[in-house]
Amino acid sequence: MPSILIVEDNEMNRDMLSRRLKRKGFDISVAVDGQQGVVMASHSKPDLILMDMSLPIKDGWTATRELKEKAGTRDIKIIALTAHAMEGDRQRALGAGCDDYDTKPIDLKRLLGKIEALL
Amino acid sequence: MVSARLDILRQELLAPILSIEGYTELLRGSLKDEDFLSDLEKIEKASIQTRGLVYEMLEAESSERSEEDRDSQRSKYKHDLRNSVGAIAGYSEIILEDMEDDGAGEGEDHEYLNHLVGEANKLLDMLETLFQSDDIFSEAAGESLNVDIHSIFDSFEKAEVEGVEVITGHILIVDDNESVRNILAHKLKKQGHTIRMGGSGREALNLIREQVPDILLLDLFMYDMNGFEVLKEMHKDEDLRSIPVIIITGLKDKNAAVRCIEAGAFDILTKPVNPALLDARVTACLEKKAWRDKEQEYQRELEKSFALIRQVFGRYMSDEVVKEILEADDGMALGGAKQQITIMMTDIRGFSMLSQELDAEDCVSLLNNYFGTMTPLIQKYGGVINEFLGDAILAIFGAPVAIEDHAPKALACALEMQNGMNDVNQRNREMGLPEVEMGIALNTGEVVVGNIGSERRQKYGVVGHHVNLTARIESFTIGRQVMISQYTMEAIETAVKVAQTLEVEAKGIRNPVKIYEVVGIGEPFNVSLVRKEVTLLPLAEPLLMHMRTLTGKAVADETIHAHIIEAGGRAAIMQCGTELEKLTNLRVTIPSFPQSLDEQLFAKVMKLIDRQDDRYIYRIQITSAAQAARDFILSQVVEPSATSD
Repeated sequence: MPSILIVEDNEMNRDMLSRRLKRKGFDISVAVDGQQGVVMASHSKPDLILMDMSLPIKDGWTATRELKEKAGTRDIKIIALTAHAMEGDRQRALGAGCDDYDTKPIDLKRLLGKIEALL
Repeated sequence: MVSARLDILRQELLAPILSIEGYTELLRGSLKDEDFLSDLEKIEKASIQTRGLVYEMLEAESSERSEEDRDSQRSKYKHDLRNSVGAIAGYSEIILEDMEDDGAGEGEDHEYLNHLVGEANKLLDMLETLFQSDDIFSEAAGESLNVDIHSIFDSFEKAEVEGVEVITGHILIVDDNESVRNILAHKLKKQGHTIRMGGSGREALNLIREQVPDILLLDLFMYDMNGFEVLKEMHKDEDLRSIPVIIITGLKDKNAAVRCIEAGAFDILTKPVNPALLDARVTACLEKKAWRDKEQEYQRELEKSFALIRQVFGRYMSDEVVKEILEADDGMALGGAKQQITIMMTDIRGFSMLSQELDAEDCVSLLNNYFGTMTPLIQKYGGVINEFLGDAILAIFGAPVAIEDHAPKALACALEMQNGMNDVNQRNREMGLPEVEMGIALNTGEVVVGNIGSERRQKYGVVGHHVNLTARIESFTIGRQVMISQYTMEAIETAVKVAQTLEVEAKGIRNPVKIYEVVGIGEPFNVSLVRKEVTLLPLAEPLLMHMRTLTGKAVADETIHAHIIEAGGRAAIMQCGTELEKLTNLRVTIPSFPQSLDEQLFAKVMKLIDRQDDRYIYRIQITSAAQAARDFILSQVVEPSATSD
């Protein structure tokens, strides 16, 4: 079963997302900030990362860039999640190396479609 | 204008939040699973967050700031609101998914959860739309939300002119959301209503207890005490129960509406409140209340008259009789009518003599004590007191309301009244008043009953020779006796216990009438006289009496000499040389009375006990005597202890 790392500082979002994806059969691990996200991703090599963009310590763009630059983690698919929905968010995310982009609040069906497309 | 628009926008944005709060509250009552409840808590937390963020955001939007600041603030609020509203929708979906996994069918909970998701998404859409305009308070922004701000304001301004005949009232608005309160107050004030406002369920109860409003506009979901609870509390209180309540709710759920109406609400309005609907409901409510107030006023007037009638008549007849008269279709034919009834006359023996001895105050206390005991007994048996005449009572059984068994009822009543004399005397003793005895006569026959008199002065009364006969029978009674005529006896099917039978002649009645001294009546009344047996004791020396017989008011010329040989209570045994008829009334003087006791006394021949040639021994009963006179006679008695030696 594919493994997914959720990097999200908002507790409720993290809780909801992890529970709903576990139910779909994914192997879930979580990180609460960008730095922890990078460490965990390098260590456990998940198949996919759901990366919130506005994260403390190290934001989502920086963390994504770091992961995409390293050989060991380059192949991990990353979907950026943002609640800002500012013009240009999408471009910024893809520019940082994200494989796809989704907005919060999460529409699970839509997100699952994107996950399946990448795995 | 901006502040009013701010209120309207706030209300618009709050509507879905209020719905969310409503549904979570419903779910809190129905969800059982612990896991569900912990998720529900998160939804509640998120909705509180959302409410706070909406307030903050609107404040920020209405303040002056640079475009740059505005963008960064909006970005922050957008982010936070998306998260908090997203949590509402997300957790609701999680519970739904869990329920599906559990194989739970589609029920109310399922429906509420879907509503939660729907309301959350609606709120998100509204926020998205708002953030697309530079000024969220502009008309364009309002239109994009489908809020016709312009028309809301128009209707506010026009309201006064439109009113054809506006009924205004005192309206209490209770909502924990200040903006909702203000909007409603603004609107209703324009219509001329007087407004008070409250911010919680408890405050609502305090305010209505302080001053009862014509209408209570009550929010359904409040934190301290919700609308249902307020309605329930109001229902418990008679003064508050009738206040019309219009429930204001963000809940678009039919069940909640039904529950409110069941709990006693007059009507329901959903948020955001449509001004035209508000107007219509309030007017309808006030109209209905005006009618009901008028109705209640008539009712009160009517009750007042009834109470007065009851008070006046209640002294003479029981509540049931008064009720029957009041409820009779023809208002009771009080005109003259011939009716078969039983007449009761009572009399305190020797009262005229007693009244001379007593001062006025004691006399009144004695009579009040007596009437006070007798009146309820007469009413208990359906009798109507027609008159109090000095110490006498004239009561009738069988009119103005016909009773079939008036004769046995009157008899049972009379016996119970005699027994009631023990209470009367007990109290007399306590008050230092003399003991009294009563005689009762009953007679049954056809009499004319009705209002008799002139136009100016009328009186409900009874006339006819049977009334006179009753008075005549009454004159034969002594204390503690109940005498009934043969006509009453004929009307009684119940077994009665007769102590003696007499024949008397009466004016206007051709043949002698049989009268019976009755001491008991059987089923279903079962009343017997409780009699204290009087012990007669011999006198140390026979006491000489001078007696004259009385016929009516005429006193015979002849003086008869007699001697009292035994005495006890009011009874005595005397011997004399003259034959006397039973029940002969005697006027007696006792020569050996001390100087101070020059009064005469009255007695009645009760029974011939013995006769030897010209010597007759009779039992007599003293019917009237000063207490001192009786005491003197009893003082001549030889006490039992003295004779035993």
